[in-house]
Amino acid sequence: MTGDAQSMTAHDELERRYRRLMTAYPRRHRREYEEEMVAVLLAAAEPGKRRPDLRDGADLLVNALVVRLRGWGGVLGAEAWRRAASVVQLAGALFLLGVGLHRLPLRLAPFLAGGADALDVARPAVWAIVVAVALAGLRRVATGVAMAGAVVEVVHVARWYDHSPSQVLQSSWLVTVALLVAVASAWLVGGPPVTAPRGRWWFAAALVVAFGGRVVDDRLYGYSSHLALIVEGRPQVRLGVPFYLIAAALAGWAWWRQGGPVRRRILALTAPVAGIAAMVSYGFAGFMYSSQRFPSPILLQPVQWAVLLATPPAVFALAAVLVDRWERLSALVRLGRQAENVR
Amino acid sequence: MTDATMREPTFLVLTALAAEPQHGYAVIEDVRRITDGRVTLRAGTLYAVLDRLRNDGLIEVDREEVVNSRLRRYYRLTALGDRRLADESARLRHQATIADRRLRERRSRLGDAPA
Repeated sequence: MTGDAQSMTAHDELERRYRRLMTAYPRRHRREYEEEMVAVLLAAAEPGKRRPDLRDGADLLVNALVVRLRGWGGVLGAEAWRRAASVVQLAGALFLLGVGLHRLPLRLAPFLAGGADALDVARPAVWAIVVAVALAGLRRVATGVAMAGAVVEVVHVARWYDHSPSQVLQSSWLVTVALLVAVASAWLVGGPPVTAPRGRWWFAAALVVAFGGRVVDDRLYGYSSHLALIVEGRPQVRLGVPFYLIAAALAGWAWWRQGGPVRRRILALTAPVAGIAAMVSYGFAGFMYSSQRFPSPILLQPVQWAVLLATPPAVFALAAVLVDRWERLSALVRLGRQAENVR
Repeated sequence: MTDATMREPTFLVLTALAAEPQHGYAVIEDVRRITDGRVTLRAGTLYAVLDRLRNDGLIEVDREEVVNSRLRRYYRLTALGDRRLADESARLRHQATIADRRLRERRSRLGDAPA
C-alpha cells in the first residue's frame, strides 16, 4: 500500500470509488447531479465503509444505462430523425416494390400456368401496401405490413440457404433494407405524425427510371447476357446505364431537398445497408470463395451469424454518434464565430 | 409526462415532495417512512427519477445550499406535478375501492371465510 493510500481515510476512499462508478453516467448527468449524488451516497453509507455495496454499485450502473438510453431515446425522437425515418420508410418501400416488380412480369406467366412462386407476387404486393398505407398516414398498419414485408423478404432469401449460402450473403443487404423499412415504420408509430416527406415524387421518379433501365437491359438481352451493348461480339456499354445515372441524379436531388439535418440522418439510417454489403464483400470474401467452389455448400458458423446480425445495428450506432458529434462540433464552431463577430 | 400510469418510485418521490421542498437524502428517508420501510430508494434510482421529473416539468429546483462542503439541492413540486400526482392518486384510490368492494363481495359469498 502506498503512503497516499494509507493516508486516505475510509470516507475519501469510498468517495473515490463512488466517483469512479459515476463515470458510467453521461457527462450532462454528471455535471448536473454528481455532487448531489455523491453527497447522498456518502450520507447513506455506514461509518468506516470503504467500498460501495453491491446493490449501490448495481443501482448506479443500471441507472447510468437507463439515463443513457433515455438520452438516446430523446435524441432519436427528435423531429429531424423522425423525418429521416419517414423518408427511409417511403423510399425504402418504393425501392423494394421496384425490386419485387422487376422480376414479376417475367414470372407472371409461369405463375398463371401453375409453376409459380407465390413469394414473387407477395413481395411487390406487400411493399405496395406499405407505400399506400404510409402515405395515408396509418402508422400502426404501415408498421404491421412493413414487418410482414420484412418476413417475406427473409423467407424469400432463406430458401436458398441450404444449397447456396453465398447467395444468402449476397442478398443480405436487401434483407437489411426490408428490416430498415420495418424499423423506420415502427419508429414513426409514437409521437406526433410526420408530414409526408419532401421530394417523395422525385424518389418515385428515380425508381421508375431505374426500373425502365432494368427493363431495357432485360428485354433487349435477357438475363443471361444481359445489360451490354455488344459490338463485334464484345460487351461495350450497358444500355441501362443512362437510365441508372438519371435515376441516381433524381434520388440525389430528392435527398438534397431534405435539408442538412435530415440528409445527415438519412445517411446514418442507410449506413447499415452499406455496412452489411461491405462486411459481406470484405469480411466474408474467403467464405464466398470457398462456398461457391466446394461441391457441397458450407454453412455459416454461429460466430459468422453473430457478426452478420451485429453489423447493421453497430454501423447505425456509429453513424448516429458521428452525426451527433458533427452537429455538436458545428454548433460550437458557429458559437465561436458569433462570439468573434460580437467582439 | 404522458404515460397513463406512474411507476411506484415516481409516485413516491412526488408524494415526498408534495409535503415540502426536500433534498435528495431527505426524499430517500421520507419514502422509507411513507412505505413503512418497504421501499428504500437508492441514489441511482432517485436521481434517474428526479432527472426525468425535471425534464417533464413535474418538479423544479427550489433552492441550493452548501452543507459541510457538499451541495444540497432542494426540489419542489410544480403545478403540473401537483396535477399528475392528484390524477395518479385518484386512479389508485379508484382501483383500491374496486378491489375492496370485490373482496367484500367475495368474502360474503364464501361466508366470511377468507380463502
